[in-house]
Amino acid sequence: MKQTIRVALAGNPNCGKSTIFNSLTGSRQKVANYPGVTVEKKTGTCRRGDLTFEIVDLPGTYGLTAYSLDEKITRDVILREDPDVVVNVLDASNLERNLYLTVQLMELDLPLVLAFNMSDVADAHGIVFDTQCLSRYFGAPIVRMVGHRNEGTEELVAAVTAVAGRAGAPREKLLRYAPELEAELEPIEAQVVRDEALRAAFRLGSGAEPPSRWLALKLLEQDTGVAAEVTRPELARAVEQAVSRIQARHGESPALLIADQRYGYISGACQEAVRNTAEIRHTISDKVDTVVTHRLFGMVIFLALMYGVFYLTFKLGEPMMRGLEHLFHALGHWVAVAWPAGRWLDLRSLLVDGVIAGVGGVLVFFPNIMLLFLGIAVLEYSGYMARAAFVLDRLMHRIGLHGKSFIPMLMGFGCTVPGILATRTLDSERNRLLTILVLPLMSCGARLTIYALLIPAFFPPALYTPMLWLVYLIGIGLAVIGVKLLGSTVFRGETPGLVIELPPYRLPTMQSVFLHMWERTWLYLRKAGTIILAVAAIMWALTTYPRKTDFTDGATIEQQRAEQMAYSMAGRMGHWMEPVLRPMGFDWRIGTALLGAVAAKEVVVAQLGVVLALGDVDEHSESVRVALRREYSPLTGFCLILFCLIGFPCAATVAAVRAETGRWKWALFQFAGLTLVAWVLTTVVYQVGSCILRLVG
Amino acid sequence: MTASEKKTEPVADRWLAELATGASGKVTGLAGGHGIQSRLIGLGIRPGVTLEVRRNDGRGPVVVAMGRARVALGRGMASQIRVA
Repeated sequence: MKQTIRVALAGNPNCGKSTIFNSLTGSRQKVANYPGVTVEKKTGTCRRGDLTFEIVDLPGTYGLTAYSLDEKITRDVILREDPDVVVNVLDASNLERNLYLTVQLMELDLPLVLAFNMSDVADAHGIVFDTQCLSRYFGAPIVRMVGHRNEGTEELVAAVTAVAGRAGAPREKLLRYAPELEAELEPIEAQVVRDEALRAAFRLGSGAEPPSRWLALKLLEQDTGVAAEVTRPELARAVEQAVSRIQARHGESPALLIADQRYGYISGACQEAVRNTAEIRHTISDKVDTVVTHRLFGMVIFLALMYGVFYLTFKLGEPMMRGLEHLFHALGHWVAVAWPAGRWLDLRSLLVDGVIAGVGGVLVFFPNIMLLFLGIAVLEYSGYMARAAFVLDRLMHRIGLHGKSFIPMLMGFGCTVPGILATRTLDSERNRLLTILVLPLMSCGARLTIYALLIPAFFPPALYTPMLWLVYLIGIGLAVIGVKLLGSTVFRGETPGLVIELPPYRLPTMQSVFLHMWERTWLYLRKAGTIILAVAAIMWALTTYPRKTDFTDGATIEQQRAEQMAYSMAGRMGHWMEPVLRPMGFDWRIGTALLGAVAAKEVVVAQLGVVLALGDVDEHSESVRVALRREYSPLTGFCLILFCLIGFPCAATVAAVRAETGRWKWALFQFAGLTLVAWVLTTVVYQVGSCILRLVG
Repeated sequence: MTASEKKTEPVADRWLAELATGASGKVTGLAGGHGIQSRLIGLGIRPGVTLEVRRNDGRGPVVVAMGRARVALGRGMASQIRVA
């Protein structure tokens, strides 16, 4: 017997697939990207005796068509991975709909195991299954499970092992279409066999040929993904003729007809093997929904929950953030003291001023980020996120997006990068790009550091909250305008509209919530360890070299540092940029600090401290605020906030946009576009503001 | 539906978006392109299925019930589904 069994988990969204994945693999999970595609590959292992199960968690999908990104990816992954067994997780309380994916998996001719999850809910609804009978219909063993109580996990493992042991056994064709469809399929299949290139394009990971019947079926369904790979004109013609014949005879597209017959097969099976002993009643979920999706209360509840999440993020995160700040401070200090006197001073400086200060400055936000993701995970797993999409759809529709786009934007308040990753759930390329392009306008946690430094520096305490609120609002407002503008110029076209299932509310399991939170937090930590580490080192070099040797007489250490800064590469770049910065009311010192924003927004804070000739600085240092107040007007302060809000998406964002859109074009377009907007807007605000101040003063 | 019409009488085809909260209808057809159709079908919204409108505020998305599933459809989507 094989030592390793490769398993893929497939299922509808909200079927409890990830809960089962978590209970199978526990913490033995890793998230990577598939080569070539920018999709997270969640894998995990599970051991029983000398057997190892390598489990891939596929995106939750309703089908395997080429019309939605998730479905296409799922299909490609199944083909590429060519797993030994596919476990199809189904919501047993909503069986017919869930079986639609099962039928499509059967067509791919892979060894299947069906996991009837949530069978407790099905029991409660009085649904009784004849699993043996269903098992015959779908050619797969059926395991009853209650994922959140970890029931049936061992039975599932046993069933997977048994099916893997039977690999290679011929499977009979269970689903036959109506004779007239089968008659059309046959000649297409014959042509598919002759189209080498087409079959090669869908070759399985193991090198085996994909089922030619499946390719024929997809072609008849007018699947764009498969049709694009057809090379023989005879095949293309055969498909075209078959489609028009069916269309003429039935007045319906073959795709609809095929879907109808799949559902017919499912209904037949269910009629024989499933009994509903209880009337479907309106559930508690429905009662909750009358309030939560209400036109008025829905919005109030949404705003309250968002407030709750932000409160959690900042109030609970604050003490932890302080602790980490002290820790990094102490670490830097310790290294500086413990360093052998007078040796490798540049290296010490790189370590203390570059790496520890730079990476540490980012890592201190790790508790806030973790708490934000915790809140979001709870909202997601409880089923609320789908309601949020519903509540906001009307609003989002007005600007030409739909409610689902709101979720990535919400995550953008934590960190832009996970927000960009979350756009994968959007079903149209247009909406996805639009959302990605305006996402950096949602003020992320890193930018909050800048605001936390600047607002108290220039404004009286009574204005702290209103100013912060205003800054966030300006970001949201600009995003709205951006979507409107781009949507009616670059991305013309209709938004395909919202389609989202509202799953019943459920209590999220601790394991799922924490794993989910950790997974996303890890992405953030990885960014700190890679991109930010590299950029911190570069920024350090730019501010350290070339070294100045002769300082003004009597200069203090701080003044010497300022002179060094002016003399360094970064300082010179700041000077070169001055003509561009002047209209916004910035001088070369601010320019030098802004260079850091390209690396990571929070670097601005540290850089300002250095250019203003002060010692160690974090965003709570009063000394920087005093210096800022002395050097600049509140108007300049506001302009700086405005510029940091809009301009220079950070390096991690640029990289994520490049990865997610697959093109440098969009990443650079976004970078240049936002920076240009920031410049124009800040200039206007500064110039108009100065005029008004002159008139008043 | 006007008061004079009886509930049991078959009503002429309408779009789902036109049904009021609480009303039910059987899907008779799907308009729109392949993309929209395949997404609706994947969710189980297909000819022959009975949908109950759980929420239709006259603006914004519509919530429908099919058995135990609840699906929110954007107004545009709900205007692609013919019901009787």
